[in-house]
Amino acid sequence: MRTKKILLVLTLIACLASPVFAAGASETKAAPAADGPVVISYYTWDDSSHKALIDTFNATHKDIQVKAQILPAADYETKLTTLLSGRADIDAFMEKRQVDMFGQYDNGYLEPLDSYIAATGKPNPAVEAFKSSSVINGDTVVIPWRGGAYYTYYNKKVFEKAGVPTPDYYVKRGEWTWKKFEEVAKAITAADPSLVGSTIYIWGGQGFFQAGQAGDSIVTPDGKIDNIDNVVKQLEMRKRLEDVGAMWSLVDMKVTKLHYSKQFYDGNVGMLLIGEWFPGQMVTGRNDGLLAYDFEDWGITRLPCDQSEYVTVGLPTGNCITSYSKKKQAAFEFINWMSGPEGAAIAASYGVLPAAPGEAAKAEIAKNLPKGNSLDYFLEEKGNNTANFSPYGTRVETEFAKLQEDFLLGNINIEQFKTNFTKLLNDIIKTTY
Amino acid sequence: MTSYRRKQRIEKILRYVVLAIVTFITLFPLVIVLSSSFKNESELFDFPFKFIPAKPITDNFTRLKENFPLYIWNSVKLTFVIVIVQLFTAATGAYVFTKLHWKGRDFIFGLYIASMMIPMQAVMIPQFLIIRSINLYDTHMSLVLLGAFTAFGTFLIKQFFMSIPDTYCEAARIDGAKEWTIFSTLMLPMSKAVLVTQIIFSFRYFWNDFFTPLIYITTPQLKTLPLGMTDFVREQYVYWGPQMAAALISIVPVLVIFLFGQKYFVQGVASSGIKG
Amino acid sequence: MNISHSLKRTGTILSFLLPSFIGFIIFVLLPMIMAFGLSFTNYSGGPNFRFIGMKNYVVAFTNPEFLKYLWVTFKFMTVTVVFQIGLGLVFALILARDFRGCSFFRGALYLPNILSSVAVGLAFMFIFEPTSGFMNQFLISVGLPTSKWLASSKSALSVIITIAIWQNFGYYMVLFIGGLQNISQTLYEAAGIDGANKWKQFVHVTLPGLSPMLFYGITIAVIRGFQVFDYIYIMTGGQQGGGPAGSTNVLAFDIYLNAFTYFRFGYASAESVVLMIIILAMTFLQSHGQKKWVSYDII
Repeated sequence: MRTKKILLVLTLIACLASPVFAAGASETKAAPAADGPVVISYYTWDDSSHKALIDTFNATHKDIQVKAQILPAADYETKLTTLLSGRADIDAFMEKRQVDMFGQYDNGYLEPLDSYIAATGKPNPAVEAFKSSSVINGDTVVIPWRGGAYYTYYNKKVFEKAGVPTPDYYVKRGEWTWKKFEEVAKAITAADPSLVGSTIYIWGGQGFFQAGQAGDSIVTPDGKIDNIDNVVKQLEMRKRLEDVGAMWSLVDMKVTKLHYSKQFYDGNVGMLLIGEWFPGQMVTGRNDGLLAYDFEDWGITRLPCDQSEYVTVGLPTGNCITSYSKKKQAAFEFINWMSGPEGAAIAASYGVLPAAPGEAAKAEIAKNLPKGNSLDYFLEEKGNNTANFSPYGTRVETEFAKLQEDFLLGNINIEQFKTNFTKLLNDIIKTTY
Repeated sequence: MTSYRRKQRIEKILRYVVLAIVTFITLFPLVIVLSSSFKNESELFDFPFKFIPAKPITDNFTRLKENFPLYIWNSVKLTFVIVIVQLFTAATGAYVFTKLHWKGRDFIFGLYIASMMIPMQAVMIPQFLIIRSINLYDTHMSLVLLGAFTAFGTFLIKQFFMSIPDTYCEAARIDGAKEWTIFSTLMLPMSKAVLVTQIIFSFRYFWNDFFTPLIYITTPQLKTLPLGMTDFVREQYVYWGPQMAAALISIVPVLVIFLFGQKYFVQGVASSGIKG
Repeated sequence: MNISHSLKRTGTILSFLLPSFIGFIIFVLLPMIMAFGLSFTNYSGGPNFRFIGMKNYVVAFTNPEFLKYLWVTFKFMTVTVVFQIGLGLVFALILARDFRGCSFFRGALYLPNILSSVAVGLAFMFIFEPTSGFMNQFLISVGLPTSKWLASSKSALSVIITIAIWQNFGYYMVLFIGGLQNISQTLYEAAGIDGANKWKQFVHVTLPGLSPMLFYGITIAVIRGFQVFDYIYIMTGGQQGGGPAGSTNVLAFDIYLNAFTYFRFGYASAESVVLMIIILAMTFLQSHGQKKWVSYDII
């Protein structure tokens, strides 16, 4: 049947092929030589650090060459999903939305990597550092290369203008709680209404900072609703701050596609709570001349935290190998190199926090941060939790985002939010099959 | 008599005023794109909005210099091929549904029409599985094949063919002409208007198509213009200026074709509904 | 002799039919059947899936969110059809006669229809910027209250509907101009002799004469209304899950979300089968009802 179909298609093509078209088809065939290096097909999105990692690997490895397929970041997940379900020619790929791993694992796309790691003779430090987000059902399915940790980024000039001490002052005194964060954000906007005290971005997952720090999981991996009080607490705080203009409106940000980096570059946001990749964007901002202030005028410190011991949130970014790849060993060598010391140093030189930074990487990171205590806070040893890392994660995040908007727009009150959210979680658990 | 003339004149003025206002509203967003593409990133979001940039720059266009010639070439090439293919499949289809009589004709045509109602999301995954199974993923060929069938085009040309009396064909058949001869030397020349309309519709369809290339094209060298427009949407930051410039570049060819082919547009769109 | 003749005849017919039919079978019919099959499974993209009967359909119809999306889709469809057809008709009546500049105006009003929805979406996001965008500045300058436009769950859908109307009414206008020009002038003259005024001429000559085209236009508008996706995707959040508080989530968008964000291909297939059935039913009802008001003999 299929051969018949192919034949029919070919007939059609033969009928219609024009010289122009023939030229187009021939361009697309780039078969690797039989006895050359092993060429692996690797999917990632458009980012200068990814490109540098791939280029360096190719330059330093003769026997393995990485053929990078760069997808547009905005539609990466959509496209990757389609490709994987169509068994496209992918040996390894970078995971952009980490919770997607559960679905990919269930579908049998992911190769368990434990035996490959065992063959190297020692545990992989990046996997060890992020064990809870690299292992599903006892199988290691991803090797993290980029760390995951949220911080408070602050603009010293804004604090100066408002006459408020910068967040690291409170961190040092052990007072950097969410209550204090709210106070400081309000104080900035109260001092000068043109200044916005703080920004938390639009992604659904950013509503779960406090829940993550408290060790809640929203929905547990085995399908039970966990405590949602901390989600409610953070949401109420957001509403209070947005109402007085001390936090950028979430709905406005989403609709205008106004990016947090643009807000922070423009220099009237006091604090931005965002992940470990942001120093890289600050470097880009400086190099492209987008910063409205001096590179030394910003700083990094801890995320606000109500727990007795400091803990942050964040998921690492890592690489997976497809179960149907025919070049798994070569693919593993590449992704293992990327998370190792050489890869880490390159990542760090782009302002990215590696999952397992070595000494060389630490020296690189220092170059991309403002002077002062920022480096210490950036690299300090800290606990790291993540709420909502479960097979239900993606739906929980998107559906939460909708309810969150309902609440922030004043369409529902907090009691209704609680009822609806619980109902929604139950619904998600019930209809995941 | 004078009051009638005055009434007529008022009506005329009113008509122009209404049309002018509506035309202004209609064309206004294009002006925004035009002016934004000459602004730098910081001026883009300045308010009040300036129609003429304070400091017009061409940087947004120079940033397109590296990749866009190739994207444009790919788009031109593929659009050309798809237009030809669609024209061919639509015209032959139209012929077989109007001038030839066979069992099951109306049923199959009914299926064609019904297929216009299928939401694209419904068939996206199966289509992808099929393209993969015939090893055409990440080739221009996949786009051509996916675009080869056009229910709308078949319908459009069929409507026109129906308006050509069967007697012409019958006369040619009696003279011993083959069907393909009748099709190519009699029907096609008589249908120039609708064929041009179909060309314009096909052109517009593919030139603007974003989703199909997004799913099927990965290699940068194979990207088309609408797909290339997203080059400036980075993970962390959207560059609006170059994006607007790219949008402008994608609009201009459609505009040019439209200006030259306007007559055919109006005629063709009009003819598509007759005897619906 | 006869057999070879009929074989030849079949060959001729096939040679005309196959170019479009092959594409139809492989890329339309087959995927449709596959989607229908998948709607009875819990397919999520990989090999590990199983038959689950009607569960997807049951889940959909017992989910208030699904019904809400259906409602939003109906709202979008109804309002766009009414306005696109209405405005199209009004401007067709104004522009059907030839006068100085008529082809310029025809072209200008039709123009948005040929643009890509990506470019259109981007341009309108500027105009409807919720704080100090062009539209709000304009409203302030004429002393009217401003709106949050796309950033409010109350107005987001209206904004998108407006944009859809803006982009598409010109198409229907051109369609109706063609229809009007096909109405024989003698009918009007006859009506004029009978003493019919302008309104009576419109009701008794123009409308019946235009009815086939009106029918066609409405059919197309309904189908497109049900399938709307691009505007929603580009202007209200894409992967981030749609308009404020889900206010712009139409069915086609929910299909996309379920398939490509949640990997619920089975459920998404069920949703698209429902959408397909609704569209088919609507089209069927329309073509059934057309006999009452569409006349093909007047032209």
